[in-house]
Amino acid sequence: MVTVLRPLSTSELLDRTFHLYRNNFLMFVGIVAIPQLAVLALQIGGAALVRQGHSVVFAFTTFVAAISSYVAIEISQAATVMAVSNLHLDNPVSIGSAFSLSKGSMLRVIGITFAVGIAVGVAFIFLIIPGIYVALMWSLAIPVTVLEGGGLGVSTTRSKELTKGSRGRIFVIYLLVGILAFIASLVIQFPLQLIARSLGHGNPLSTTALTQGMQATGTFISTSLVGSLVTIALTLVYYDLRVRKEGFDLQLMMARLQPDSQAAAATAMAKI
Amino acid sequence: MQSLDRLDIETPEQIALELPLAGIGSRFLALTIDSLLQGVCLLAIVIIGVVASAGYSELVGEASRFFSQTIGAITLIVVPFCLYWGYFAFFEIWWQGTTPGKRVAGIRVIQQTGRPMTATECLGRNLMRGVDIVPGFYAVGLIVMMCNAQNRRLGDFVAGTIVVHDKAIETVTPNWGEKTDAEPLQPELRKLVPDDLVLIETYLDRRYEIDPLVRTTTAQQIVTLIGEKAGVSKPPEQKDDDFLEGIARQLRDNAAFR
Repeated sequence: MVTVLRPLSTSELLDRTFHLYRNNFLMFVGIVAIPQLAVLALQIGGAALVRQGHSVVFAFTTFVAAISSYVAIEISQAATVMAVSNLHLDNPVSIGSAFSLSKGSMLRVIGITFAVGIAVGVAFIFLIIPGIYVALMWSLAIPVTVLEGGGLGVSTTRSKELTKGSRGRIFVIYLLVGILAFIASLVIQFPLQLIARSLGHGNPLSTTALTQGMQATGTFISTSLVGSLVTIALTLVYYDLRVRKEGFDLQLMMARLQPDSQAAAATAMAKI
Repeated sequence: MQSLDRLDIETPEQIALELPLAGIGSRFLALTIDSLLQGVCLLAIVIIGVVASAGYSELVGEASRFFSQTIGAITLIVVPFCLYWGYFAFFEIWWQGTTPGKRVAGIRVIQQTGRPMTATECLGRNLMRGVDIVPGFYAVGLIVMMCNAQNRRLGDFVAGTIVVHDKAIETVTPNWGEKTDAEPLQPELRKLVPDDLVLIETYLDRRYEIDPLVRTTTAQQIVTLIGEKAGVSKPPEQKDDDFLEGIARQLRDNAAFR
């Protein structure tokens, strides 16, 4: 029995993140891109309205697009957590099954992210450090609510317990994966912005509309390509901490070794 | 299922080597640490250069201002240049494929064949760093690494090198021992399968790292599971860990799962 579930070093966790991402590239891109398509359609529609001079309608469309973007990101996040969980535990998974398995937790994810975001924002006002501390303390709230269930209070408390003693490591992982995702999005968006600038001559309204359309397309492509990286890393951190602190790997091995191992493993998976 | 990318090499002696490849994550971690160290060194050199230049100017007076400026220029231009380009090559040659950052990340550069890297290869891969870094933030290197299964950047392709995890990835496998006469195998234990021993040994290996309450519960669960499967029961006075150690020892000593 060779198990992936064992305590991983920071270096191995980072490598495992990119290993999963690259080996399941189309699935992760699909999970992020599908909800973002609706946002892209709204943004391009908004850009077309700019060209026709409907500024009020454009402002409303922009507002709706911003809300939709937030919801789309959170829906993808829930599905990504489910996909990573299944891959990490060696279970089959697809784009459809990831969305299907996570649909019960999507509303909770949207609410928890909003509440945690407000709390982190408030904490950031007090000279940044408290903000970082709160963000790290509750960094696993989303994997917890998707994989274990529970609302805001339960998820944040559980995240606080799990991350205790490992927040420095989570900070390093957050930072490095975040920087890499940022570099990748810059590389993707830069050529599109150049094209938009080179094409944008003549009518000022057309130029603005074209620039906004290209920016929306660039954001869509970069979000779809690298949007899942941080979520993959945090889901792996969640499992790593459960292995380290709760002997999760031992529980799973025991479930698989039970005389009626199929049923036992299914029960253990249901408790995950 | 593999947790990380691996490279299989067969040596001329027909010995199969399985090397765990370092991925983008660990290499970026190492690069970040090395860049921070380079930044600190650079800052120190700039401060020393400015202070030395000013001090020399005061000592020799206005007539030798030219020399003080030359010293300042050398310190501020040549030394940082050497530090940037020489840092990686110096450490990788001196420390056999590692740098301070790579040591922290637990990775090492070696030849594609599994042999240690030579100085020429080291210089070659580090000269290509100038291309990998274009247009900034190692963007070219990052794209190239994403597009090949061995996570190699352009410098690695030129020098024929790969970056591997220094310490082999640990897999939990039973430690098969030679048969001894110390303690004969109880016939009941023959009902156990190799994975049962893996479970016991994984627990014994990790027991001091997990939460004490979880440890107690897990030990009890494993004792119950193994006891039911093998049809043996733990004496009430014996500790769970001692019972499991006894079973593992018997299985290992008798090489039960050949």
